[in-house]
Amino acid sequence: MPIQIEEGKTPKGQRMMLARVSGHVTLQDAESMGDQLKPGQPYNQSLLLCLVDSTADYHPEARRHFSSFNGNYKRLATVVTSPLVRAAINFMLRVTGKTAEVRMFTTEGPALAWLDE
Amino acid sequence: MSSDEDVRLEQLISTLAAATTGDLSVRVPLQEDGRPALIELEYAVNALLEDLELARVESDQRQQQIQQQAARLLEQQRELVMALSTPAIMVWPRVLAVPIIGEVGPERATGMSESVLATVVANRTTHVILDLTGARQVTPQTARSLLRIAQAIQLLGARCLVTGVNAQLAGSLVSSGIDLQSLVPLPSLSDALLLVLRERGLQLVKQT
Repeated sequence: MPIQIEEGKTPKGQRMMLARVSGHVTLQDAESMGDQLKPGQPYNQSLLLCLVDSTADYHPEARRHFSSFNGNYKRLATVVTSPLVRAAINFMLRVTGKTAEVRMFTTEGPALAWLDE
Repeated sequence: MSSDEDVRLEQLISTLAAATTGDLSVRVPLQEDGRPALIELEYAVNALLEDLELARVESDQRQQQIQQQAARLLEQQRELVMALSTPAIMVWPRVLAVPIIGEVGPERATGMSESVLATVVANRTTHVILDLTGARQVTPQTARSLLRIAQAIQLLGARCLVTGVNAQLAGSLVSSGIDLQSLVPLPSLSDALLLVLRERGLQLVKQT
């Protein structure tokens, strides 16, 4: 499973969706993740932390689908170390429309701190 | 700008040039080092190419589906036209009338022959009236086809009456050089029906 979802908590105890991303992400993977953020679903309007490893890459249909996530979460922090994956995510954010609720980090600590702000 | 960036820009341009010629499988080699904007540009070009390639595959599949659907519709239409172009009407017990309308090409003649002969066998038909009043553009080849149908009807033990022969068809039949013995020509459909009745020992009597 390229996207593994689990429930997490921020340092201040806020509930969040924790997504670990690795390998080739298909449309089905993106849809499966997006389904849990839809209105009426467990993680709708919650905080979202994505830990994306250097092997992650995205199918074109998955890239397109990520735009449907907009507005379904409170804040999205993405932790990514690989410059290539960072470029991929940055590009997807440009396509889907960058918002103040989305930020990228290179380590988990500042990402969690920002989610708690 | 460093020479490394020059090389990468050159690769970007070469990739775009190849894509412009229609090769959407080309990709920019991605590298982890360098300016983030350059890496993102390289990624963006690849992403665009992937999108275009996927769109082309989807478009090709749609086009193929449309072509298959069009072919199916065409075949259904052809079968329908064939069925409608050879209406066989049982006008009297064991008497079949086949009004032929429009142009009779080789393909239609074949379909017509199969349909008529099958009906003759199925209904133990004694007389087939080929009514050519509505037929047009009768070529010598068409005339030969009609004669073959008439001969086949005769072989099945039925008589073939041909009505509505116009001047052009008459000329074509004569010039075809085929034996016309199998045909019983009559002016109109009603004349053919009267002949059938006579042959069966029946006659029309006006009621007083």
